[in-house]
Amino acid sequence: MPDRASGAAWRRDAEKVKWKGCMMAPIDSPQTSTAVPEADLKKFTVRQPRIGLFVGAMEWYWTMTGMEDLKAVVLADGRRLAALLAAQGIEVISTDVVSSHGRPPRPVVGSVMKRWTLPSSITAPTSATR
Amino acid sequence: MDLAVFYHGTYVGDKMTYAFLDAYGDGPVLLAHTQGLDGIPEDMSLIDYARCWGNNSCVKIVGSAMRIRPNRGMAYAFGHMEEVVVEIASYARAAKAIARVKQCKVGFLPHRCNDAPMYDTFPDETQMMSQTGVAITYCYIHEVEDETTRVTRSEEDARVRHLLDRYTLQEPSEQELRQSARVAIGLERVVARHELGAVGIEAFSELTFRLGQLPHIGANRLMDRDIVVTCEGDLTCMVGALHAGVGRPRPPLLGTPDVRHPAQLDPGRS
Repeated sequence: MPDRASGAAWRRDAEKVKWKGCMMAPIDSPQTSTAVPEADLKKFTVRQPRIGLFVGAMEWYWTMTGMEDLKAVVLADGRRLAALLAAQGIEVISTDVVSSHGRPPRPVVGSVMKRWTLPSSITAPTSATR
Repeated sequence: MDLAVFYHGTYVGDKMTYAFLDAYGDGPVLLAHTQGLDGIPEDMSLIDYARCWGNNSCVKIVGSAMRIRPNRGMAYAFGHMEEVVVEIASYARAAKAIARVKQCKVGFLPHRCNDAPMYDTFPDETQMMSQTGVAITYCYIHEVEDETTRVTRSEEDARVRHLLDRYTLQEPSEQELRQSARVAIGLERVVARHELGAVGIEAFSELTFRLGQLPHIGANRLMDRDIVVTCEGDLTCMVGALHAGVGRPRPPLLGTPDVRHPAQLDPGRS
C-alpha cells in the first residue's frame, strides 16, 4: 500500500516504501538539483473595468436661454455618477461637460480626456446633490 | 478604455450625440440618463426640470439611430442614478471581458476530441475568431514530446520535490510521478512558446500513449499560473473561461482530462 503520509515524510522514508513491487529511489539532494526555470507564460492581467464618461448637455441652455446654473448642475450630477461607479469598482476617466456639437470630443485619449476634476469656478447648487 | 458612457445630463440633440459617436469610432458605447433628482422636490426649479430632460434625448435616439446609423450598436441605461450605475458597471465588466479576450490566443493540443466527439464543442473557428477576436492556433504532440525529452534530470528532481513538498502523494508510482513532472514542464514550455491564454488538450487517443502520462499535473500547474485548460479540445469552454475568468483570481477549469493510460491501469481494479 502506498504511504499516506505527507510528501516530505514519504520522501524521507522513500527507500522503505514499496508499491507495485517497485523500490523508490531516493531523490537527489537539493544541492545537486536545479530549480526548473519558470516558463514565460502569458500574463493574466487583473485590473478594474475602465470607462470614459462624457457628460453631455447643450451649451445654448446657458448661452441663450438664461439657464446659467445648469452647466454646474449637470456637471455635479455627472460627478455623482462617477463617484457611484467608482464605488462599484469601475475606474472612471471623464471630461468636462461636453456641450457643443461644433467641437465634438476627441476619441478616447488626448488632451480632452483627463481625470475628473471639478473646476473651482463652478459651484453646484444645493439641489444638485439630492 | 473598455466602454464609453455618454451621459445625457440634460437634453442632448441627436446631431451632438452622433458627433460624439462618429468621433469615438466603433468602440462600445452606452447612452445613459439618470433623472438627476431622486424625487420631485416642492421647490423644483427650471434647472431641476432640465436635469430630467436627458431621458428625452436618450430614448428618442433609438428612433433616430434606425435611420442615421442602422448598424451602429449601442447600449442604453435609464432610471434613478443608483440603478443606472449598476447597469453601467455590468456593461463595463462585460466590455472589459470582451476586450481582453480579443488579446488572447487559444490553442488546440493537438485537435478536438476524436473518440467521444461532442459537437456542441465544435463551433466554427472562423466565426469564433470573428465574433470574439480571439486568435486560434494548433499545438502538436511532438512539441510536448520534444520539450519533455529536453527536461534534465536535475529539473525533473526539482519538480518532483516541489510536488512532494506541497502535496500528500497517495499514488502513482515514483516512475509515473517523474514522467508526469517531465510532461508538466514540457507542456508549460509549449504553452509559453505559443503565448497561449488557454489550451484545449485532447488527451485520449494519442497524446497519453506518446507521453506515457496524462497531463494532469501540467494542466493544474498551468491553471495555477492563470492559463485556462480545458479537456477534449473544447474551444467553446476555452473562450468562455477566458471571458468568465476576467477579474477572478483563477480562471476556472471547465473540464479535466480524467482517464489513465490503459497500460497504467491496475489490472486488479474495476
